[in-house]
Amino acid sequence: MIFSRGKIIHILAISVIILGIISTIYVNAYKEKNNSSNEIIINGNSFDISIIFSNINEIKIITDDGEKSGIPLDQLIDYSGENCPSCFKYQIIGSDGYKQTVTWQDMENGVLSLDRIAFFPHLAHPFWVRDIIEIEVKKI
Amino acid sequence: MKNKMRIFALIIFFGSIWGFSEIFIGSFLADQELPYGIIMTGFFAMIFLTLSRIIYNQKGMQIAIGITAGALKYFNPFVGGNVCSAIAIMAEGLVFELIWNYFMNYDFSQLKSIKMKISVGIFTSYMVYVSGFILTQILTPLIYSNFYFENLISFMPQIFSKGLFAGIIGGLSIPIAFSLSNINLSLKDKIYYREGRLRINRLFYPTTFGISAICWIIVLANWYIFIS
Repeated sequence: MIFSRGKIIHILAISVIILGIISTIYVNAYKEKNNSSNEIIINGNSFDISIIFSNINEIKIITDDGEKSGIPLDQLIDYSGENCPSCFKYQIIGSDGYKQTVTWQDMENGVLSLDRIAFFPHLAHPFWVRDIIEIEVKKI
Repeated sequence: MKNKMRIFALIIFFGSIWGFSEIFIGSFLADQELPYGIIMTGFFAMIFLTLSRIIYNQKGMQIAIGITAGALKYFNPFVGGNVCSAIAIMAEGLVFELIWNYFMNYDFSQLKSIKMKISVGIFTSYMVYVSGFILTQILTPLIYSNFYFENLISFMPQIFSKGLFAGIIGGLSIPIAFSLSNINLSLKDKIYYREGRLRINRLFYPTTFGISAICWIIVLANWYIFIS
């Protein structure tokens, strides 16, 4: 064996540190690029968050993390001009690259808060995407 | 038989205090908007798993500790998605076990230097955290709707990035766990010599089972109050 297990563990520790540093630089650069905008992209079209919130009424929902308020996600999709919303699934994308894909039924239960967090009271917390920058409409 | 009973008691003890701290300390850290997953894995999981390994060097024990902690976490009344986080904790125990089984000598002789302890801490904590995180990202969508590989891939840089901090904390935790193992805990020696006589530590079973029972009773009582 060229390296003893002791040496291998040092190499592995250094490798994961390098991987972690490179990933952190990448994530911060990605976030900075996407955070500068006050807009949200829905199916390729840009919408101003403040205009959306002035056109759609906010509602309150109860989650296992307390009461949350925001605009219903199904109304947001209707507002974006989608003709057959139930024909698609929806990929919600955060500014850090985090993505979750949900169905129309999920969208009917969820809300988007003013600070751009999607809350789904019936889904686990990993579905609660933060800092949303885009909602992609995808074929089922 | 006595050895098996002793191992069982330590598994239940370490699994219970790990699960208990995940629920109560983890929930407190989450409320303070601190990175609780990183702290829980990098510090608490590493301390409990390493201590249990040092005190009683038994292969397979850390998997069983992970299963016990995961079972307790399943009853966490504070956070949703309990099945996934319970399985993730079990996976963390498994990954720790695999790494230590491969790299450690039976007597931990290669862990004498502080540099080695730090390296082992960084690598183990990083791998345990990253694998637990990836598993949660796969299981949660699978259980609630569908898993999309593309979603996981796009989030991998975030997972690798968060793992860095878990790794750094782990690099400090494992040397701390080794220092703690030098303290003469009542758990450590069932039979010991004092004043020239062989004595039996009668506190071992009451301590391990008693503390474990308290952890389970508090969690189950909280869970019962929450669901009712």
